[in-house]
Amino acid sequence: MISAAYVEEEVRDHPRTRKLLERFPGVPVIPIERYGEVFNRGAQSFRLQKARPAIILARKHGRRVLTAPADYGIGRQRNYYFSHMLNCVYDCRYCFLQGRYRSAHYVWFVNYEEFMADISAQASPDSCFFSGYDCDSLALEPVTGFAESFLDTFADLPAWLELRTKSTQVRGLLDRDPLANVIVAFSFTPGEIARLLEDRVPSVTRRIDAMRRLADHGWPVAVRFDPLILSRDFEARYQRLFAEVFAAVPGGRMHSVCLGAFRLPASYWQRALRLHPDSPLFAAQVQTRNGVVSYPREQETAALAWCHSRLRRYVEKDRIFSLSPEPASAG
Amino acid sequence: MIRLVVALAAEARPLIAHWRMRRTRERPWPVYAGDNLRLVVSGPGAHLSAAATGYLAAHEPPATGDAWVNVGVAGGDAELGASFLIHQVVDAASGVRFYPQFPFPLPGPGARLVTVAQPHAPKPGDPLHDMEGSGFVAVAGRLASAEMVHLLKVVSDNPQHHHRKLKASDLSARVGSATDVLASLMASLDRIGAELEQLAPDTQLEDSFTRGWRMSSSQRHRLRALLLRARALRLTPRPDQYRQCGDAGALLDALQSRLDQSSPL
Ligand code: SF4
Repeated sequence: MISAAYVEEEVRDHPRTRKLLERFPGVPVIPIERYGEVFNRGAQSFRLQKARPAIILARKHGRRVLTAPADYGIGRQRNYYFSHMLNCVYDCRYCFLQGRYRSAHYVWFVNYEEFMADISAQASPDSCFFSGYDCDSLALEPVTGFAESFLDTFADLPAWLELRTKSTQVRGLLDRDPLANVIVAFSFTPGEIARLLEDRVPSVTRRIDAMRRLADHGWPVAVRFDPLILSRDFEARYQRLFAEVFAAVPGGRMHSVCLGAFRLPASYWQRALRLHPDSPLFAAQVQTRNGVVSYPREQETAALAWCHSRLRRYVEKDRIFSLSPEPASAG
Repeated sequence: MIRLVVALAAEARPLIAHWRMRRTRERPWPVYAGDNLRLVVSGPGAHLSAAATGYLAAHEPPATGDAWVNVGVAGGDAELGASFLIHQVVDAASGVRFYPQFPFPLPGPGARLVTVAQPHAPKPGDPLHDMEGSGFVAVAGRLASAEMVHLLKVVSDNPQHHHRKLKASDLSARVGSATDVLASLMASLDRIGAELEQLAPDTQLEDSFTRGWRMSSSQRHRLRALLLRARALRLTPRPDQYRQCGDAGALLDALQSRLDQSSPL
């Protein structure tokens, strides 16, 4: 699963490092000083590395918890995000990570305790912490034990945590009691789009099934239709997707539903296009507005309005959120 | 194409023979050519390795999918004749490091390489040492992405067998013993090189349009973006289909309207 492990000297003896290296005994272990010397190098190919990524074990210095954009949220006043990992096992054509990072290797920050201390210091009843901004929150759970570790912290905090995922790695969550303040949010595009644009991602059906099992177990679950991808038969495809999702978990049991327009900074779009020039995503009619590539405004507004009104058939209005007009987040 | 950079003629000899290369240039550096293969004999030391790598690029400008491989002997605490692919190159003088990337299974074991200015007698526990690696990557790392820049080192001396006793024939034998590993590495590099070539924009198609219509630089920019969209739609527009367009503006509008009619997903 991983081709090599680059290990910062500083975390060489960290218990999570040791556990990972025991799990992958054959991989070359390459000592490094700071993760950036491998990860941020200019001349490397995200696309080629994606075929056989390495893992970079590092300590996150500096600001570990960041304030989310002003209008990003699901009903709480104070919104934060954090990333215990950079990059993702999946490979979605529309993902902003491929434009944001030069390397496709997974950077895993093993200093969870410092993240948790920072989160605890800022947590309050009106705050929400979003994980899965620079990665998928659960896809590598068997390796990183991220949710397992952080849930113990959130069990004692008044704040909310959102785990954003496209994965079906929910066994750990099913093995423990649900937490009312932890929301597992699944992202979806219609199956026809997912098959073309979401490489290595579990099928829509399997994700819906994982979500249903969590909901049946008592976990708060949520759905994110973010980014909305325009296509022929847009309405019919999204209508079918909404019907499938809400047949599995009725709207009344859904914590929240978010809609997000497709957005990529122009430089990320250019990089993504160079990586996959043959992808149908890049054949779409798009506009660049204020340095951000998106669908033409009228089409975007119409799509959002249509989805919003259709979702109202399943979910109450106050549980439907529009994500900020910032670039689409990951997860 | 694979471009090999080798320090000494004795190291180059078995490769030239194995891949049936012929000499195409004698000065300032000897250059050999084979089937989709070039080799330059740099001379010893990081500076010469860097200069010869640059020379090989200038002599025949590299394409997007070209790979660079430094092949040679190294000392270290390892078995004589063992060959290693390098995953970290450290320049001993400056501390600068380079990390070749392996988006393919390694055809042999990996190792760390330290490049030094003077011959180094290996001691127990030493990593591999050579005199060229950091010079080679300093230039090759600017010419290609880190997935396409590699070093293959064969152990020629270790704490038990000192380098002063090495003869030219020993060097040839050591490098010659690694041709299988090198062949396997080259096959992987050819494969990913072809993938990189496929991603490159079709400049000939763009030229075929700019020859027919005078364009400002912003119009060229728009043309490029439209041709990229056409590629994603699996369409190949031809200039003769747009002969009726009197100027570049009309051409670009016609191209755009053709693409807007096609639904990508
Ligand atoms: S969009 Fe989400 S699931 Fe897809 S590659 Fe990016 S982080 Fe992973």
